[in-house]
Amino acid sequence: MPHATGKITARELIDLQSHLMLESTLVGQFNHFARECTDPQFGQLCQNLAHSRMDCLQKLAQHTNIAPIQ
Amino acid sequence: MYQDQVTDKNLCLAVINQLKWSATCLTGKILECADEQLRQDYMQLLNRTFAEQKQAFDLAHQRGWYQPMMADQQMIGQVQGDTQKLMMEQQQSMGPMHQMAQYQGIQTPQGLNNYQQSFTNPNLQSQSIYVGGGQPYYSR
Repeated sequence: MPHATGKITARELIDLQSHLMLESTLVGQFNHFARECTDPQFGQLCQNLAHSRMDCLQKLAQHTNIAPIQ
Repeated sequence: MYQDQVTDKNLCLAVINQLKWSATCLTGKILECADEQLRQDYMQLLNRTFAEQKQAFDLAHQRGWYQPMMADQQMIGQVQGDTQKLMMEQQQSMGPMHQMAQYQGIQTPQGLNNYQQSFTNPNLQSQSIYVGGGQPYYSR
């Protein structure tokens, strides 16, 4: 599991949090675009993108499993 | 038609811009990341972002929603001229270094090693490095 020893820099932690928020926003936006658009191919692309960004979000979220510093 | 109207074109351009921004943010984070695993994960995400942005661009391009301005012949000629000038300036500035390398006989890998050692070896510090016409460039 990433960062099991609690070794993460402050900069990494701040960057991680900001990117998790960005990915979360992208998931919401791409889902919204998929519902709003009329072009079926573009709608499918938006759905795929939303799923893909959700995967990214979950993968990055694993890095927040940080053990307390001993 | 208002530009801010919700159309497929505007949504697609928004997707492209969002993915560009995501790639920019990821690049900054990779450059600041000390943890190897986190860095690798960011790099995978960045590659995925590049691929997705390309998909969105290709679709927009097929639909005629995204038409980049093509460079005209005048612009191309200007860049070609500037590049040629830049290359000539670089060659002129590299000239003395090339002559110095020839003077010290470093065309072979062994010679290159000697050249590199001369910067750190105190026994070689009395040498002068010459540039071209016999004038010492600097002495060590």
